[in-house]
Amino acid sequence: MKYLRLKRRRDFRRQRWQFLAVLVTIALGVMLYAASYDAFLNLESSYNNTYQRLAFADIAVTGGDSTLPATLAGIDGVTTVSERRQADIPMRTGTDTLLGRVVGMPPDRQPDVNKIDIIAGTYLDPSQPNGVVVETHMATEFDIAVGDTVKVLGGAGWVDANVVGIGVSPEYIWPARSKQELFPAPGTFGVMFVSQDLLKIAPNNVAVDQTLVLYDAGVDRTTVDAAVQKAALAAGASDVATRLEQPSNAALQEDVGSFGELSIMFPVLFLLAAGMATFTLLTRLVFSQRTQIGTFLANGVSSKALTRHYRSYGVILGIAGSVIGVGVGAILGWVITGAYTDALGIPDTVRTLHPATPIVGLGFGLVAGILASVAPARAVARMSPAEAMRGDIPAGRGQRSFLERVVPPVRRLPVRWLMVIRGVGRNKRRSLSTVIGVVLALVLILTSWGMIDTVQVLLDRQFNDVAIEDVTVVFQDPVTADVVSQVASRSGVAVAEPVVTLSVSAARAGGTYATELRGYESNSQVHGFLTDSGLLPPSGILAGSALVDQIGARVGDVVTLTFPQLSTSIDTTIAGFVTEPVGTVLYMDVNTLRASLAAASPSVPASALTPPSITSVAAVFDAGADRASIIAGLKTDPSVAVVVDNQAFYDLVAGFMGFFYMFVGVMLAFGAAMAFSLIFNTISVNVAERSGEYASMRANGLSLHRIGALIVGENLFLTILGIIPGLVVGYFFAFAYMGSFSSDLFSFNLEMRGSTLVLSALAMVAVAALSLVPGIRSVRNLDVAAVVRERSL
Amino acid sequence: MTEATVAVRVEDLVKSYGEGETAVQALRGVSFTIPRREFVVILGPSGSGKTTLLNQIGALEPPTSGSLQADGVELGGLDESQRTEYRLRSVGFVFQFFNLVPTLTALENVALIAELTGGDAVDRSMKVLEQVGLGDRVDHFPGQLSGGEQQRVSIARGLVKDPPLLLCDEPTGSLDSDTGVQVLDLLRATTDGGGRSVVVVTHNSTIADMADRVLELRDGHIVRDETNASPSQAKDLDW
Repeated sequence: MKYLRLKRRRDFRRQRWQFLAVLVTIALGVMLYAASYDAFLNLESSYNNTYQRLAFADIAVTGGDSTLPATLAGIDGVTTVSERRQADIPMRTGTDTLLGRVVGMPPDRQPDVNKIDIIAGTYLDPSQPNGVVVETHMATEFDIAVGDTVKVLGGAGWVDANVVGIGVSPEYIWPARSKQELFPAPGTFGVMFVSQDLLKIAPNNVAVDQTLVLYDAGVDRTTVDAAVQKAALAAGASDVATRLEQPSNAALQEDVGSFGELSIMFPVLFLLAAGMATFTLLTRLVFSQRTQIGTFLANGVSSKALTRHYRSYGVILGIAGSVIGVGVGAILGWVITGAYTDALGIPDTVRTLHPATPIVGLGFGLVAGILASVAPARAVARMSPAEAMRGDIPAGRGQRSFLERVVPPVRRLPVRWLMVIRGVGRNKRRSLSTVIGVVLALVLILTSWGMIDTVQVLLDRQFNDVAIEDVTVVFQDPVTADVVSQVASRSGVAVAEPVVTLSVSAARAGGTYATELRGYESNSQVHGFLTDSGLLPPSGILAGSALVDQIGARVGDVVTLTFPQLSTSIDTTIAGFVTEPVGTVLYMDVNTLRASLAAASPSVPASALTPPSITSVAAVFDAGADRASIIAGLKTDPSVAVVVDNQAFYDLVAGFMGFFYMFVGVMLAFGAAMAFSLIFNTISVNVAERSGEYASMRANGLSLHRIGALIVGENLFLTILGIIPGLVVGYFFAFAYMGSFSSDLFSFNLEMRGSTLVLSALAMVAVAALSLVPGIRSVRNLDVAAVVRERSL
Repeated sequence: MTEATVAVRVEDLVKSYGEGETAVQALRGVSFTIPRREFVVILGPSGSGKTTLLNQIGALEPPTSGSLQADGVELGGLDESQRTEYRLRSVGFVFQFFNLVPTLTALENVALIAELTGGDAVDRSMKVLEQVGLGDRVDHFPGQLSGGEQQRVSIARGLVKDPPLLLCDEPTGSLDSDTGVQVLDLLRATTDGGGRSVVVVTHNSTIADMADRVLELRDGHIVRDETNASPSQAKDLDW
């Protein structure tokens, strides 16, 4: 009907700000979805493209006997098997020293698996046996260019390596040393690709052999993974890492996975809010136009046509919001993908418009608009023309509130208080909409704020309760008791202890898990153990709690620990578990470890644990000591290879918190806007509906102040009703959300501060109070005489 | 007439809405006096200015010019808070569309206003509701009351403050004739027994027969100001 369409157009124009607010909310929800989901898909494609082009290993096996490569090549689905050797050894570039990694490569050609994307200079050349390709993160961090020299510490001393190229490796897109050290301290790690000949300078006990495997495209990965794993373990491999388990990819998948989750969770919150805002707005529209509706009905316009007319508002809002959201989202997704791949240095950036994303986005917006308009449109269908034309508000049957029925003494409260309490149940659907709005806003706020709290608490725990040491010192020579004493005797050093770090695979019937075993003094003062006693057990091991999921281990179980560097294994019991924020490490009393290895077959002498790559010295400084000066002193000691400053790492991670604060700030603003929009709409409708009552009260001497207090009371009561479940739902949402990040890499159990709950609740009250201002102003501006006159003339 | 016997004194009262070419003069220099204990009916067709006049007496809006004294107070110079205080102490309002709060019972609707003036709000509200014949319906919500009963609650709400002036805007406009008669009887009784002045605005000229005084407005002017020496009973009115 042409004139109904004209009316609709003019309605949109007349209430443009309210409709615009709803439109923006729908558009925001759809945009968030379209941008983040498309970016998520694009990032996955970018990774896959890079992995495919550079032949990223489908599985990487460490250790194993000489028959392993041939065995693996014979497994169905395996196309390529490549062998190499790698070692973690001290390096020196300029004045910096680090515990870097050298990875052996064929000098005359790119390897078949884990190729390097050369971004500067050239690949290795057989004519330059000391030529190396530096991994791009290392080159950036240490300002290394082609033609520079990097020193590497071999068994016979420092050797010059000449930088011939800088490259990107699919293994080190995220430069993690291992799954237990996803975030190496700044300036302590770097990777260089070297010829197998140059790698020979590395001492045997720090070098490991690896077998890298590629699969046929389209094979069932799980089946082939299982077959390779089985064969590798049978051949004595100490670690088998599927593509998902390889450190860089595991870290990146955590990141991309969270992107995928965000791309669904936050848009859903926004679309729910948009749906409720649409519902409230349309209810208000229908209410304000009830006399027109009555007149239309009286003049023969069918209720079906009118229902369709009012539903069309929701449909139009849904379509317009989602079209805008999809359009802006596609652009934003494009930008995010590029920014993300740039920031992480992913060589390939794939930007594809996935047709399903806009279709689903349009569907989201449309469904939100349609569902929100169903109830107001049905109200139109049920309207009696005579009643509607009179403009009367159906009073409905008043009743005592639930609270009064349950607690009868409440009935004796002053009537204005009863009015506040009963006002909540006056329009249940609208009240519910506000309550849900507050709940959603709190979910949004607590989920993001919970993330900050968790990271802050875990950072604090990691650096103050677990990794207590100020520095870890790696030496060039074997670490004897004298070396430890020398560090301890330095001015400003309170305590120094040797720390043994061994690569290990823990195995029991439930599976195998490759990790690190760290040996500390039993009463260590450089490392904290999150157990009741805070001490290492005299026998057995303490294990990261993720080991339960990884190999099904329980306290008291016997596990077999295989040490590839020492070519031996021991059986030990699990004495307890520790839940540490980062990694899944095994801990053992260093004396127990020495004794167990001595008793192992083949036996390992205590001297085998003293090489610098195995034993380092961890030190805690005196309170108030001059950290910089102590660290500088250690670095100038010619016997020191690397000084890892734990505080620098803490500062680095703490620096990332700025991003978190920004993220939470945005979410707080979104949550506040969502709550504001819903409470504002509810109160606007309430005031509009009750203008006669308020006018009557004012005529009978009720001051604006008292009427304002009634409105504030009712809506704050409603807000508080939303806050209570909101805090509970928000907490559990945050709990589930943080839990989704937990793995053997991180333990992100929610740690929410009590103050966060209190501040979030207060923030909601503040937003509610703010959103009441326009409503109270409208009562202040209520022309009592006009209301009375319009109703009486 | 001495000041002590005057409830309302209006002199050359003008009320305009809007400005310039669109300005509308609802009252064009109206003057009259209402003695205490008088039942006054203001008659007039739609747009004659009768509701505007009632709103002026009730201090719902300030006059444009002229003087208006009610209960000894010059209303023209009052600010918003003083007008609210005046309405609270001196005026009770009854509207055509009751405007009761649907979530409050009859007793609570009355007590809401009674609480503002101190004393035992519930006790006073009960008494007034009994006076208007709703003693057995006090715990009913508006949705459970008939139109006449709702209007009686509305009258009780106006009376509970014991104001010297009760202003009624089309109080029978939404009621059938039998109920209308009951309501008018009740209003009449508040002057006879309660000693207050009642001003009823209506376009139903029949009601004029029961008034002590009739003012008729047309186009913002008083065109008739008559005293009725022998007012009729409400039941005798010919609806």
